[in-house]
Amino acid sequence: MSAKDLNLLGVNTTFVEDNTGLLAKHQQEIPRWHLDNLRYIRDSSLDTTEGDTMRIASIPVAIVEQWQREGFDIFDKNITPHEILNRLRNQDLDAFITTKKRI
Amino acid sequence: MTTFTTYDQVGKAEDVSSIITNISPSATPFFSMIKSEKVAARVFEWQEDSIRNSAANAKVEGAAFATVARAATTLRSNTTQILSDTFMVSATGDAIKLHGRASETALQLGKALKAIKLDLEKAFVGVDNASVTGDSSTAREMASATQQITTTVDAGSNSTDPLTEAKILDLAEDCYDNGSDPSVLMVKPADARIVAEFATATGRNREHAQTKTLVNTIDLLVTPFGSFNLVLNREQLATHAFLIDPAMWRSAVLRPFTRTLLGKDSDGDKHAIVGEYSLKHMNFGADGMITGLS
Repeated sequence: MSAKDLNLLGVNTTFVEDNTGLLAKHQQEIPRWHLDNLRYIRDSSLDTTEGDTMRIASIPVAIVEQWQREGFDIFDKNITPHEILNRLRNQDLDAFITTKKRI
Repeated sequence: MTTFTTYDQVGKAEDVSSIITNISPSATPFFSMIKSEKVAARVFEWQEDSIRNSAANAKVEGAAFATVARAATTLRSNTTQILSDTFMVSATGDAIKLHGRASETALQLGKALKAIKLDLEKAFVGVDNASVTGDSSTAREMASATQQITTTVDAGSNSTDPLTEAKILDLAEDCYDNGSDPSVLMVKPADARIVAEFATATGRNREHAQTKTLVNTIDLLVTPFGSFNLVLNREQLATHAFLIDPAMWRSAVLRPFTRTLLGKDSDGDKHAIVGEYSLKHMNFGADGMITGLS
């Protein structure tokens, strides 16, 4: 499938201007089927054997960008997978965790 | 008598680089991941150093000291590239009331900033381009990321082959053996599906008939060679996958993006956005890429 055939649901940024200046508004659509898929993967994780590559979370880029604006950059190598999982749990974003196994 | 002469500026040069940095970082993940660094020349240089490999090291008592020749540092260089975009908004266009936006200029500025940022991402990872020094008739061009990575793994024996888990692990192992510590696997969106399906064999993935729609996410992967953030990049070369350490890259800035209001010669305002950028990989052996992907 070529990149043109693929509908990538990313962050849509629009601009509005008010008396405080130019404002950017960021939005990303997260469809129900995507959340259902992640839930299925998470719920069945305890019954399956892992391969060489284990996916532990799938975080929409809108959340990653918001965290970066708050000073939490998941691309910083000092940030561990545990800290990322804890942040997801603390912000009630468990829906984006893809395993129930301990890491 | 001293005469101090100045010229009235036509319009005001406005620094828009910070706005550009904040526009949809995920649309240009490579540019957004790496830090920037100021450079002061069109062709800038840096040195790459390394330590020797380990070796058997045992001496007898009273052994004479012998100096061991050291490899010289490697001098690397790259060239800055000028990127610009220009748009015009008629005076009427900015005056009339529009649905969904405050002014036509704000809309067009936002679109131009997005576009030029995509251009920069493409220059970084969307082409395989050697640096061009340029002259009065030839534009300077930066060397892209592919020209600054020496650790490569071919996707297969054919001219193009699909991405496989084995090839990713081969590359991760090569990087590990080199002593580097990459943390980001950057792939084109179609390859992100392949990576997500690594788990299919164990029945963990279920397709919900959304074969043409993909949600842009950052997946956290744990492998025998460390954890990677899986990043989708629409702008990168479709034939490549990159395993990178963002800390080893710099966006080299000679002139940050600025917006300038151009001279008035019509019933409207012309705006130019211009900046001069390049790319610096601090150690060519630090990161790796898979080539020849279908």
